[in-house]
Amino acid sequence: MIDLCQLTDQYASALKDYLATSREIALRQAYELGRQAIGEGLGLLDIVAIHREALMTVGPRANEVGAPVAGPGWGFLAECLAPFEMTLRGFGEANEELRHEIIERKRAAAEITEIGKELARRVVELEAVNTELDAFTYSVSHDLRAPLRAIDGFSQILTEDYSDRLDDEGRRLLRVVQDSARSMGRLIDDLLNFSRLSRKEMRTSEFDMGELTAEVFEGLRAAVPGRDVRLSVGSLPRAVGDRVMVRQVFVNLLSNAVKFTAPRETALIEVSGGREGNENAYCVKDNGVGFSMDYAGKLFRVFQRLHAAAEFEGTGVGLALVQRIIRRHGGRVWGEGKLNEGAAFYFTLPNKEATNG
Amino acid sequence: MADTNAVEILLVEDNPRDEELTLRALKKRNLANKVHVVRDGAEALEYVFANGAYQDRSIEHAPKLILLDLKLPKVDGLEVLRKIKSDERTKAIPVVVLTSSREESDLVESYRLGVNSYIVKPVDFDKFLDCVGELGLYWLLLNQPPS
Repeated sequence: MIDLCQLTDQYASALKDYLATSREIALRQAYELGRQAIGEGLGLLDIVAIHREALMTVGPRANEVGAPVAGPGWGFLAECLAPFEMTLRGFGEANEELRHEIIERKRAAAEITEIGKELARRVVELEAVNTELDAFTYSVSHDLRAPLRAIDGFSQILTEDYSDRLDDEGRRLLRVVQDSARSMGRLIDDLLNFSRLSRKEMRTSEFDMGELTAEVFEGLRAAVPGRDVRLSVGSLPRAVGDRVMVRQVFVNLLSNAVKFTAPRETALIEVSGGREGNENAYCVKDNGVGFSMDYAGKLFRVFQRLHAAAEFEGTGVGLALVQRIIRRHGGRVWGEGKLNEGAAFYFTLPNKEATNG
Repeated sequence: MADTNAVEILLVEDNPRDEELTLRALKKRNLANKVHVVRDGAEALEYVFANGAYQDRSIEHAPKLILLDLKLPKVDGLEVLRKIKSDERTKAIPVVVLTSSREESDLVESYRLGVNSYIVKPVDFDKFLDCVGELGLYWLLLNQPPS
């Protein structure tokens, strides 16, 4: 710490040296004094005042000089002011940097606002697309089914009212028309279910999978009264998910199992399950016609069928629907099979631990 | 149809093919004699409330059954349903929605408005015949309306 008087004294003595002989050292001192003045919080004008005062003390010659800056000690004063200049330049640079940063931040902020606006636009767009999709689904449901009903209905009317003028081939051809219309009707229904599922909100609860399996199987068995279909259900861990959707998974997997075991005298369907860490795994296995693992990758694609329509009916939407449901639940699904020996379909659902965590 | 007061079934259907199929189904059960067909929602309302083109009709001679499609020109089926079910003079008329729409929202809304039945028209004509025939039989012969 140095006080103003000391500073003034030191300045005066250094200036005196400067004006006399040893200039280099005096100049270095001037610079040092300037730095100290900055440290003391003095300003440029304070230094000029000190300089004036010092000039008056160092000799009569000084009085002759009006302006201190132009006077004989000006080099000394300039040196003392040099640290101020350096500091100012530093401030300037820092200022410049800050200015850049502010501009940069403003630009970034503008960009974020723009992105926000863009996002809002996208949301509006998406909502519009969704509404459009709903309208589309609606008209698919209504407008496509109406002409199909006409094709089917009028073919039948033709068969009934003109039967005496149609031979067997004529009636067969009309049957083909009717069958095609009906299968397209089923296709449209399946597709609608498929697209509706992705828009439907999930209602999560915990439920008993064994109960669900039994419930679904009873319904399916009633549809094939002439067949010997046996179901064995192991102990299945309770599931957390949308019960209606998971029910659809069992409807599709079990009805596939029932369908593809048709050539067997006794159809054996086995449902099993277990816990594996954060997942519950479930399996539906049958002794049906199975499939070649060469096609395992195609199993879950929409409209993909591995069997001829004449052999097993179906639209090729069932497993795609299963996959969509399981994926929405955050689970996995896969199939294993062997031609003529049966198929096994596995799916996992995150269990309570995973849902809570 | 000369005497619109003697109508038993009002069929509200804009698709002439579906109309023909429905009439055929009713004919099979001998129910097609007293059917009146209107092709849009506005005409349906005029008929039921006996105004406009139907001002010579009497509102008291209500049809025994209204078969209502949902997707209709001018006034849609849900609106027709709402008007019929919110008017004291007409709310007792049984209305069956007969539609291609499987939309959950249509179904929920129809029941909320007081529909008596909601039937999705099957693509399969055999099923369609059964379905329309059963409907006609039930509402015209079995159902006992308030007198």
